[in-house]
Amino acid sequence: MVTLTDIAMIAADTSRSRVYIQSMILEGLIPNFVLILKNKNNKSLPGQIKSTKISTGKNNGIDLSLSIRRSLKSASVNFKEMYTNDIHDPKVIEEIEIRPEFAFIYSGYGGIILKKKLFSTGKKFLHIHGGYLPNYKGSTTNYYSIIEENMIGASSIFLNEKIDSGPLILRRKFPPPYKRQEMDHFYDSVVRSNVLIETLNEYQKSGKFKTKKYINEGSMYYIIHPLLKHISILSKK
Amino acid sequence: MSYKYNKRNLINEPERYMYTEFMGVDFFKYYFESRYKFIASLNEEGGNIFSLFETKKIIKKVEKNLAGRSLKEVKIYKMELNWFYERYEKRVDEQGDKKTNAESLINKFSFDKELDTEGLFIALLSSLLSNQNAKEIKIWTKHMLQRFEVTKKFYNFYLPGGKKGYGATDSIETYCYFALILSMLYSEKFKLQYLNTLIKLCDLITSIPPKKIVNNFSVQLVRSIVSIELVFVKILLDSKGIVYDPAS
Repeated sequence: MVTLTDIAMIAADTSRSRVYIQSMILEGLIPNFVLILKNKNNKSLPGQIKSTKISTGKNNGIDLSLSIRRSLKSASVNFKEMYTNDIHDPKVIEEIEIRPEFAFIYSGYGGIILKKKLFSTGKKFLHIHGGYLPNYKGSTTNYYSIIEENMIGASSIFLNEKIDSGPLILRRKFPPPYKRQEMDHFYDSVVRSNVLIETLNEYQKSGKFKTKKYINEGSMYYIIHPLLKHISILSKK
Repeated sequence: MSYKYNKRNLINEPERYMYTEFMGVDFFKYYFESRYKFIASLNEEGGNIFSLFETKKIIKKVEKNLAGRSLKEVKIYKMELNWFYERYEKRVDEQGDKKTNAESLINKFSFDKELDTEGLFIALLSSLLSNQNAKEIKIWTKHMLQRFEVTKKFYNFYLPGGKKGYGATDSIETYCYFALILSMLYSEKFKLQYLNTLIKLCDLITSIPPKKIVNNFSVQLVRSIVSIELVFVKILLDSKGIVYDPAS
């Protein structure tokens, strides 16, 4: 197991974070530290999967029923749990600020745009966008790209204050999944984790993140209407 | 089971559409049923402008055009557009802007000034109908589409900068005008972003109790918008090889 000593992670208790962490452990490439943001409410937050909807057993080596805590313990990864779902909570920002790692893999709760005060910590936030950038900026873009190009994508970027517009590190296209109805909580996370692993592997080899030109073009997509989502899932062409 | 995205008044309680549930191919049936039911109820409540028979005739025409699997749907679209154009001209007359052209209408609007939403949309429609001001159409449409997607409503006015809205949010015509702008742009460019927001607007419009859509202008406008939306959805379903069960 290789520990990336200058990389940490912010993980909300979501299906995506579970997939990321398990994928990194399977790859033998782990962050130095993980800060887990625990949902303090009973109600599920964006990105959280209801326990009744988690199918048991492994898929691609990933077990969505396995908690983040258990995964991290099994791989002896340092972690800290904070009972807040707010990435901008002053205590969370303080925790990020004092950490020695220069970059954080960001896997927070959905629907949040990072604010200036987080960037003022001086840390970099590595985000894997579910979509092929810069063509598909915004939300739920993989449903759109299935309809338009019969593919899904994922791109690694460093976050900035503009949506999906930070420096691009890596982007990949993938064929649409067989079970498209499981995209939200599984396949979208799996393709993102593939790009995350490739990004981290390249970083480990070269010792730096090679960013490409600043993304200043492309189209913005807003959360997909269920009608178009159904068309994306059921389309045959 | 039924279509659940217009069950409550979405102006009062917006729908965010996050992690929506997959319901299988029957979802389309529920959607069509809901829209047809709304059109029918609108005519009952709306002062008998169009009888139920005539509404069915229009829907049949849409169906017939689609059966051709060609660009015939454009005919329906143009029919709706001509209908709107007549009323739109009347509106401009009423506002005393008879001699103004599309260019001067759109030039009234700037991010430095307060914004009258309905006026802006009429100016955009005017530009679209006269094939002018492509740059302004792009800028304003992008901005107002974002405003709707963020707040899921339109305010009657926006402060300089165009982000903070104030005033009422229940002008049905304002929502319809923007839906019409998006439908025109979608028919030209087939960008899914336009269709996506158009369907959300139609959810909002059809979530308003028909009793509130009282004046004849709104009734006709709403009916046209929903008909156009149905045309676009059917075309897309067909192009993706999805066999659905349309409501009868």
